[in-house]
Amino acid sequence: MSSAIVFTGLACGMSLAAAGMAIWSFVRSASSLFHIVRVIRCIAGILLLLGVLSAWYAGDCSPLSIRLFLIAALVSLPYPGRSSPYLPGYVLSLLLPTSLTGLGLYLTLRSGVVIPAQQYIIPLREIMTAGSGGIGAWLLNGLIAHLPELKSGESSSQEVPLSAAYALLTILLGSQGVVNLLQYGKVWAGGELEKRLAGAWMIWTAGRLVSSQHPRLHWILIAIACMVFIFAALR
Amino acid sequence: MGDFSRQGQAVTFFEIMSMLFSRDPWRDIWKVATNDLTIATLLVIIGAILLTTTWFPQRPSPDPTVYARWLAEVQRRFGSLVPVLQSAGLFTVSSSPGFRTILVLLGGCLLLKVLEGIEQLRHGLIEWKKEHHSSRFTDRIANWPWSLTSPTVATAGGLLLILGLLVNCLWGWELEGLVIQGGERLTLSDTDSWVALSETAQQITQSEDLTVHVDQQGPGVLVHASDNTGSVLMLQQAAGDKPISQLKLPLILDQYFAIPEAHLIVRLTPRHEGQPRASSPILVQLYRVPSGQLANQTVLKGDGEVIVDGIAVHFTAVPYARLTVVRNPARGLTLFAIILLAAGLAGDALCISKHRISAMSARTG
Repeated sequence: MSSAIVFTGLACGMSLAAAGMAIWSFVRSASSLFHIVRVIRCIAGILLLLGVLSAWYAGDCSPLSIRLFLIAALVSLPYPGRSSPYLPGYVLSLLLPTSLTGLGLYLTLRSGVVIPAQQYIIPLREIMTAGSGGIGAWLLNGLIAHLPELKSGESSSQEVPLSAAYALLTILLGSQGVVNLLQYGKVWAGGELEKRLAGAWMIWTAGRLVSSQHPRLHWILIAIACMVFIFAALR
Repeated sequence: MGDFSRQGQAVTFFEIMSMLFSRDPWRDIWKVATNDLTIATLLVIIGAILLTTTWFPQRPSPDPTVYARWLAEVQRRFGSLVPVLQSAGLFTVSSSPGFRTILVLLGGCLLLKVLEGIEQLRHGLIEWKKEHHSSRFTDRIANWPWSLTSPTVATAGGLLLILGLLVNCLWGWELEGLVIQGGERLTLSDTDSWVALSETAQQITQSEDLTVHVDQQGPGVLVHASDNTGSVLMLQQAAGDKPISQLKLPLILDQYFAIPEAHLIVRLTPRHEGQPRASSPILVQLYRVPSGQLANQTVLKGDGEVIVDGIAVHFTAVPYARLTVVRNPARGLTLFAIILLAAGLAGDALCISKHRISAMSARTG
């Protein structure tokens, strides 16, 4: 059994345990457990990152599984929020990395794909797509976990991660555009994948533009953009 | 239809219509065009079209090979629905006049927005100078009207990007699958642009206006044949071709040629596992005509010679490269536009974040 599978398997189990603890703490009204859940979640994220690095180094997993692990790792990163999270959303946000990791493990174990490391060179596009999907999933996850804040219009605590994610995605896509221009002489060089990412980014930009006038439309458009980013990463 | 808003107040569709027919329609059109909701709507439409084109492969250029590949792909994917989807224009969305009109509209809106932004920035700078003319340098930088600068920079970047795409669409071109062999220099038809490949196929040079990308490299040969007296024998690649003394062949697929005077046919097969390389070996097989009997075969790595009945066939390795050549006259402009757009939007994201947080904090106490 490879180290990648061990790391990701452990992370999957820890995420599942964290979700269970979150439900239990809600039922027992033991809010102090949330801190433990947060710590477990972070550890699971670190384990997933280790799993991804290990899989990339050894070529143990298929590219899709690696992407799933990377997205799950990013989703496990802590999400800033002012008030205590909305429990059903929070549990869902814990189950998302679990299911992504589980799916990645299932695909790896089922297909038994082993790609020799020297044959699987990670292109910039692959990293960018997985990163964009991960950022989208992380943000969507955070938004679901803090749904009541968005409903009540007290969404100032969401602005920092939102702006950071947008700025990061803009820089990522901009860098890809620059690389394409220098290497291929055109902005679009990756065909369908880049069109998906650009489409999602445009929808997100539209969401930002209407933020002050139509807050609900703002969140809906950003949620759609996040889903497209995730979808693009998993295709 | 959604509400447009003006200075924080919601404006209904009917008010917009009445604005359009008011005494100063230009001013009102300006307001509608520079409204964030208008630009957001156009962005959503363009984003949706881009996403649509990923599900429906767009019809390629009139190159018959590329077209045939595309047709096979859409028929495999959509089956009997292809005629319906084709008549609905879903395979030509990106080249449709509607899509281009939306891009032009967005360009127009961004132009007006840039002008408006520059005007606001000018006012902001006048105030900034008044308030901070005697301040320290660091204070002056900290109090620079960033919240006005970054959106204007981003909008200008977006406008230049659309302009770059337009210039490329009008005067740019792309050539896929151009095959060139070592030591060759090709002048591309109807232009002064050229591409050259070094003898070893390791280095590509091109005219300054081109960007060249190597899609594939593989083996190739320069062939000539001679008999035992040393006189050159003619080679013929196809029945109707004029016999020539030497042939230059890129080995993308198997290649055949005849040596009519020696009654021989030569077959060349590139041998590689996975991606072909410039140094991939070549299987050379010589057949007698008309019997079809295999007279000799050998695997060549680099230069070599194969002899049958005193006829010597000489092979000199001349690797090939398959290239995509792009001429984008707006490459520099587009590069500048992307940098402006990314820097402006990233800066704007941070400014908006800071501004909104402080506004919300002030509201909630």
